[in-house]
Amino acid sequence: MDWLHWIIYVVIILAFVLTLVMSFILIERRVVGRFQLRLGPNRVGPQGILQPVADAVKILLKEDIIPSKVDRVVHLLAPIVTFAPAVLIFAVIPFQQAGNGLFFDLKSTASMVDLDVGVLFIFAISSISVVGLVMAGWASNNKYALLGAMRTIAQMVSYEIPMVLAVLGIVLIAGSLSLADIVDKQNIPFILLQPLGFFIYFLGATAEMNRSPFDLLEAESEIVAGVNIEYSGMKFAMFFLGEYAYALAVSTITSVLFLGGAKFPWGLLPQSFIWLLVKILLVFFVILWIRSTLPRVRVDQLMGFAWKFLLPLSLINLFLVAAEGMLPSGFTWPIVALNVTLAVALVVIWANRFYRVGGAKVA
Amino acid sequence: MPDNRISLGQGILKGLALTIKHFISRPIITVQYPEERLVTSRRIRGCDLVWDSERCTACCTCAKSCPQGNIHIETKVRPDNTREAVVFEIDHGRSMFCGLCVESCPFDAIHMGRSYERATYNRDSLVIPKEKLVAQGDRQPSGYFRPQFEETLPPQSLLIYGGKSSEVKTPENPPPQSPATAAPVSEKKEPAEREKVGVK
Ligand code: SF4
Ligand code: SF4
Repeated sequence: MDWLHWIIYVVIILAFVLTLVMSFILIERRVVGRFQLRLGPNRVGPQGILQPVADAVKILLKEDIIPSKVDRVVHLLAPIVTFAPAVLIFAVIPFQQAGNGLFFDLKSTASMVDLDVGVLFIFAISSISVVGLVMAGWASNNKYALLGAMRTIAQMVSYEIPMVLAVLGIVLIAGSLSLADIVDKQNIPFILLQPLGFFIYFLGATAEMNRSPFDLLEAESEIVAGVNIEYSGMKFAMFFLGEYAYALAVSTITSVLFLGGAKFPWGLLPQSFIWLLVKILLVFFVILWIRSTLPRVRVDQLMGFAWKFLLPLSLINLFLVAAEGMLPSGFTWPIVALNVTLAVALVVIWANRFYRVGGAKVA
Repeated sequence: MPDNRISLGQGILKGLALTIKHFISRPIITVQYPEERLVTSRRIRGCDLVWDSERCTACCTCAKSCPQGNIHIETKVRPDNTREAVVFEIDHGRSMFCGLCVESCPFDAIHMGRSYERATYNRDSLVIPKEKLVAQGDRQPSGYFRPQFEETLPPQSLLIYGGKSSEVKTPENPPPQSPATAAPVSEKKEPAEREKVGVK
């Protein structure tokens, strides 16, 4: 790999992440507004498309306050440590597969590096942002920040496990940890072969990026603003951007792992990065849909949900995938039907079991 | 206590269906204020008082009933032994728009206004002399304690009674507003009628 390749991809990834994060902020405000029968920001530029720019200018001009008793170095580093991993994830995302495309053909996969251990890389890197949040909570010298950070550690560590176990199912089917291989193998999107895995992964990822209904990190009514309470100006903006970059990363990973990445379903049309973009927006829309429907859960409900509901289900799912892997190939559609039925049945049965034993309640 | 109901996740699904239905089909209820306005209540006590120079007999009842002493009247006797107000000023900056002056006027000569946009850059311009107190422009009387005006005014647009779209008034298309003199004013109001207004 020559240096030109690196530079081009650094530029592409930065442009991709920054423009999409900016538009995600606007999309979120407009879409959630629409859900609440409001308009959302629509004054700056046509349909409000310049609103993120106005916000960025505002936040850049704000005073950057460093409280006197903070641990300065850690306080300054924390936003960066939170934001950077979200961008790093995109290094292994295949934007388009090798071969014929809708607009142009490619000799090799369009990703910065096609790591053989891409999935492992993603989960390793994305865990780093927890460290950033803990640094922010500790260094801020503020009880609310620390409480928010403690909650975040508990939440992220718990949800990581079912999430990774759910993705293991994908890895078993595809027989590879490389994202490009996983996309290549998806002649039908893996969401059909792995409905239960998708369910677990999606809920886990929603919790992992602190999205409503799992946004306990910044439960305004309880801990004011959580870890970013002492942050202002550009440092706060880093946290904010990090949160959206995370939402983008999760939407992208979901699209790549479960929805077939740059491929058009069943290969009806040639593959293209456009399809990846459409899928990312679709996943983000579902995240917003969930956000505007469900209220925030309590801390004990959150932990109970991860350990007593998602974790057993993900273990069952892994077992099922392994068992199905021993079947001779060629039974794709029966397996899809079986898996969808099993997923619905398991979720319903386990949810009732969970409810009976008082899983979501304070014992 | 264990609950034995079987839950199939209907609650969450119902909620998701409701929100997506709102997303797709419910009209947006935001009123984009400077461009769109809702029609106010017909009996609004707006931010101004409207005076009717024709009907006023300069009896000063309003000035006496004002808890703030906002109304400043100087009178003169005409040759036919009636009185006329030479000075009639109301300090809108001090008024709390309680409407006591309106209720006390025996001749229906002073009314609450319908306008609610009365911001100015200095306090002096809030003391309004008699030439500017009469009904003109958007200074129009409301139906507060004046049922004869209330009947002529457009009904209030309430968002809870469905979409705003049909009832929102835009500056190009204002609803008909009754000038102070347009409505027939009953010469002498029966006490019973006043009571009715209070109850209504
Ligand atoms: S509305 Fe009330 S406070 Fe205002 S001038 Fe009339 S009596 Fe005075
Ligand atoms: S009470 Fe009515 S009639 Fe008497 S001075 Fe006031 S406005 Fe004029």
